[in-house]
Amino acid sequence: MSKEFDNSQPNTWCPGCTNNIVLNSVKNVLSGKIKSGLHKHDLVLVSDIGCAGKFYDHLKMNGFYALHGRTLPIAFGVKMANPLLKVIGFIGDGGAYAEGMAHLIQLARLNPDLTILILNNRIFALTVGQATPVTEIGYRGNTTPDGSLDEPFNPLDIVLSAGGSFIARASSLDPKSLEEIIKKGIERVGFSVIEIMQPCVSFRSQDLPKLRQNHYWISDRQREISEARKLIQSWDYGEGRIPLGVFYQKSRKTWGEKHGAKNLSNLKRKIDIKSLAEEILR
Amino acid sequence: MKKNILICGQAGQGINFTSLLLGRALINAGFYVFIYRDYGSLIRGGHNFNVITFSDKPIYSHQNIFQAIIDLDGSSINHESDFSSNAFVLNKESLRQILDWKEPDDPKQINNALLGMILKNWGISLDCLIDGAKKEIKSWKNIVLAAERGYKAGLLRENLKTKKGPARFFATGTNGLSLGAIASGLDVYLSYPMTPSTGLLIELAKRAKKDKLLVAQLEDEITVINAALGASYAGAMTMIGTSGGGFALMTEAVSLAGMAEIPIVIYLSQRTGPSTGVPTYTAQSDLSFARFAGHGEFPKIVIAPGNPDEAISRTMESFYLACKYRLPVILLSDKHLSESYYTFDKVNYPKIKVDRFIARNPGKNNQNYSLDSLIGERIIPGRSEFARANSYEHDQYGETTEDPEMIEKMNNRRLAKMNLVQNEVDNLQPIKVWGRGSNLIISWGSTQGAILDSLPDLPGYRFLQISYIHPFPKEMVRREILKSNKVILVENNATGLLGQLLTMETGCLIDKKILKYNGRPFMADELIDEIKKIS
Repeated sequence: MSKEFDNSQPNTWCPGCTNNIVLNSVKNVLSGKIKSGLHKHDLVLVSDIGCAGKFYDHLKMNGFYALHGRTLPIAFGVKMANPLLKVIGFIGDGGAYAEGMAHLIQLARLNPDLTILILNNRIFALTVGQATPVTEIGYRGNTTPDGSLDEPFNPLDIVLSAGGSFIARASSLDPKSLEEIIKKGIERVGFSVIEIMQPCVSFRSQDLPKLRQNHYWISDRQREISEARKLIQSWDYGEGRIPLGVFYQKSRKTWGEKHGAKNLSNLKRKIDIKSLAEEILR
Repeated sequence: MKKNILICGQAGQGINFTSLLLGRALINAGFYVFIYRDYGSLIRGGHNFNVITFSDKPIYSHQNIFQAIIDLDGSSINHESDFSSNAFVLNKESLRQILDWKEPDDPKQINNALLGMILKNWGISLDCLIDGAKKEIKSWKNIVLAAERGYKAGLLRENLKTKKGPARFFATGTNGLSLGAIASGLDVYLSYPMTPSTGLLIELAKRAKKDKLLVAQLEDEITVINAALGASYAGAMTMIGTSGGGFALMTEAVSLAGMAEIPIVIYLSQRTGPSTGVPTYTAQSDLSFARFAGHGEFPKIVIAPGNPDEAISRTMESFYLACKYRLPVILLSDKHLSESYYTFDKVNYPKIKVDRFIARNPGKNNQNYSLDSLIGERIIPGRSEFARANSYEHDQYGETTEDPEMIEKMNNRRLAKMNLVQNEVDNLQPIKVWGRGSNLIISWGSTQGAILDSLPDLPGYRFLQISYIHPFPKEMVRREILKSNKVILVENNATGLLGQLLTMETGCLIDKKILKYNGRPFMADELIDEIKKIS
């Protein structure tokens, strides 16, 4: 395996954490892209806070370790200023579906060309075990000692309704398919949301066998939005079987294309302040 | 010679446009003009008014003693106590007296006819109006047709001496900010609409194509500042704009800009607070908030221009300092400065270097946060593989750290930048002293206009304007205070925020304060009265 993305930071994920599997998949995909001609200069990762945030520490490349829940607007801004960059976001379910949910909805609408990996272990793990908006009713966390009382929502359904142009789900327990889906997300143009289901080995170890049993892959083909919605709604973050694969993909204009974005950092401007003053101040 | 015209009516009746046309006509006739806008938070109806003050000498503020009134809806009765003894009122009735005048299809033509009448009143040529109208609108001929009729029917009451002098500048603080930003090489302006900062978003959106700007309105202020930091990290010259409430939402990311050392210029136009407050009225009550915004300790600059010309240079300084020292700069304005119109003879074009301060060929250099050198060109993605920006504490490479020694070193690195900024700011005229006298008026920002207009009537007083709120020009301020007899603080807020900061920074205590906090800006006559009371 290629080492060019290895960073020397100590690995602070729990022993057995499947983030390591996702990390390997990401490294494989990125190394492959570089072999096929992508410049490493043009690759940027954005992550935020929580266990998913630590992807910044473990990938040696351009990166922005953002505030909790703010991977999306930071990544949006990076791409806005330089559309030549390939931007990949890493967010946990806390950051994506709680703190940053408004961004997820709005960016699904705006369709900037970003690939977003949402690492969903259905728990706030780094703050040692609290329910997120996709945790099932009855979950006993340290802030819900009698069990969580509130229903989870279905964020992928919301992303679809908001105009999401690529919606997929993968699993950290199936690295080969995970790699394929990440590669697809990176290679296509548009806002690509990939939810990666994973067990939290410290706070939800019960998920490990369950995830394996309940996962199933859907066929890889174009779908009408109504069919995609049915598939997405078929698992509502409670009990039952969990479909994996690309639910929906549709090409539409990106935010950058609509707004004529270009690499601004190289822009040389001719500024004539006196003629500006004549225009603006008279 | 100084006159104040009141134009009042309902929102939607075209008060602003009519005021602008009249202001331009008066400038073309050789006068100096100041326009104050007073409006409520509504789209149609209500009671709005503008005050147009003009004089043959430079004028920087308005006065509520009206010699002339253009009344569009009969509401001027609310202002009757402010009418001067010889005041005249022009309204629809005045037009009915013209023989063949019929109610026009377009009610705005009433405004235009009244413009003609008011110019006739002072013997100002209609050409002055025509030249101004051409600048404002393509269909200027319609305006002129109606104005001509009003002009013909109007009475000549007082022949003012007019002269076609050199063309003067006529602009709002918002205009100055937009010019300063574009002249600084602005690439990206992001904002969420909030009065009174929205004007800049509108103006830059209008200019975006021509000046190759990326101007976008995003879903909330949190998105605005985070996207802006992403864009700046990627190498764009980036500015955002908001008012107090929106800035409150941004503060977490202000701290991020300090930590990750990302340049950003934040335009904060104050309105009456706290909370929703009084959205369309003015205040200077966010000085402390701006100065201390953000959790943790990090370097930051706060600058407060006092007029549109200063807005240009201070905006250019903001970009220069933000990019060179990689930190957030807050440009403090308020509704009064952002939206009032000022006349000035010349622009003081700043000699500020426009530079992104980005490494062109960083090569293998991967130290974006060097421990040896505080200022260095930053590394950006697209040109490097090592552009690392981290909200977490980090080492010189941007790698996450919890090491106690490194935490201390990086704090020192960030905070030491303020010493360099301080040296640079000393040469940027962080204070201005106006007039002569052993007594001192101290203030900041938009109060400049009313204070300058009151100085001629306050012998023995000079005015110290503090433009750099942070870093605070302690020594310069202390020196001015120590050599003064009486010292009076003037602020558009309830608790004297500049005074509190000044005490913290200099150890000097100012006990004489004139504070106004009813949403309205100071006027020269009330200031003169208040200061004389203290005397």
